[in-house]
Amino acid sequence: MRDIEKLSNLVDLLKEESLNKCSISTENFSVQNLLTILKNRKSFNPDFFLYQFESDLIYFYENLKNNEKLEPYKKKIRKLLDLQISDLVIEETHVVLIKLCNEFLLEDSNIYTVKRLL
Amino acid sequence: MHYEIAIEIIEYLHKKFPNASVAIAGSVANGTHKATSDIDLLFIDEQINNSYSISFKYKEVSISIFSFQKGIFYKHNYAFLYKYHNMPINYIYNANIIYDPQKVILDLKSRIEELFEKRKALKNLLISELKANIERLFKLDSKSSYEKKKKVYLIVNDIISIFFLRKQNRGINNKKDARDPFSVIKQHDTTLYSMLNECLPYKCRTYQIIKETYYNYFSINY
Repeated sequence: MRDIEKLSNLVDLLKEESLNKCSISTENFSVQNLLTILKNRKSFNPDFFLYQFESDLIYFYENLKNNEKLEPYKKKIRKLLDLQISDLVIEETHVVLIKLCNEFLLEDSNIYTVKRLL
Repeated sequence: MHYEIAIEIIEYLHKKFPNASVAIAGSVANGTHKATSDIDLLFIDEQINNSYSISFKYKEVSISIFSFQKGIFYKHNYAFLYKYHNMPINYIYNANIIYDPQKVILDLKSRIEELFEKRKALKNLLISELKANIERLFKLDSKSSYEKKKKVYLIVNDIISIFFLRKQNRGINNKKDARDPFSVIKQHDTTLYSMLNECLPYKCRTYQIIKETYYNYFSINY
């Protein structure tokens, strides 16, 4: 899509109905946040990075609790959360999150990413 | 390049939504942006009932439009009093207004200032409530290590909130401090920093250490 079209389409998007329709799910939103934290690891305090990541992973897991579609992933994440977090656990979690994204969450490749804030 | 693109999008939005409020926020607003920085825009149109974040690329630059509905401010007003990581308060308060025909952003900024004053005035009460919550969490029976871990992380979050209420009660924290509250703690209280560093992330002795830290040091000094 050309840049000028992106602006004209933005006008149609900036309406309650369109924004609501295009919003990604809360799960998708949380996974993207977790992947961003991993990508930006250097910007966190290294003494507390593992705590901060795990804390957000708990939040994500708690949000997944009622999503039956993601049941196998919930079990995997719960197993990881039962372990003492380490770089190895982070690596395994990263693999699970990427698979989760590929399989369920990032089904569309829209030009715009819309997140509804609760 | 960032300024030109920001102005182009702002003018376009204003032309199409003349009654909406538009402001520029984040690093481009305060002049600290880099070539890789996003352009953050605040957009308030009363026709939109909920709050959304819209991201896209325009001329190779990442654009982030925060479409805010003031209801979310009232909905979370109580939580904003306690929290040290106060997005969207920080975002709106520091945004530079470009168009605000209905004075919506100006009104929000003044309500945020009222919130800061309330946070200062109610500081001791808020701290007492957070302490009561921590003590309630300590009394909860948690069988699995996951439940204990979850509980400890809630306690740590409340400890950090109390620290900011007591030591950094200016009402607003920048993005860097919100992302890394521990470096702020280190500057003011190396004892607390060392204790938190010793018990985080969660390991088998964490619960005991955090409980001792809370009752023998934190509840006395804060």
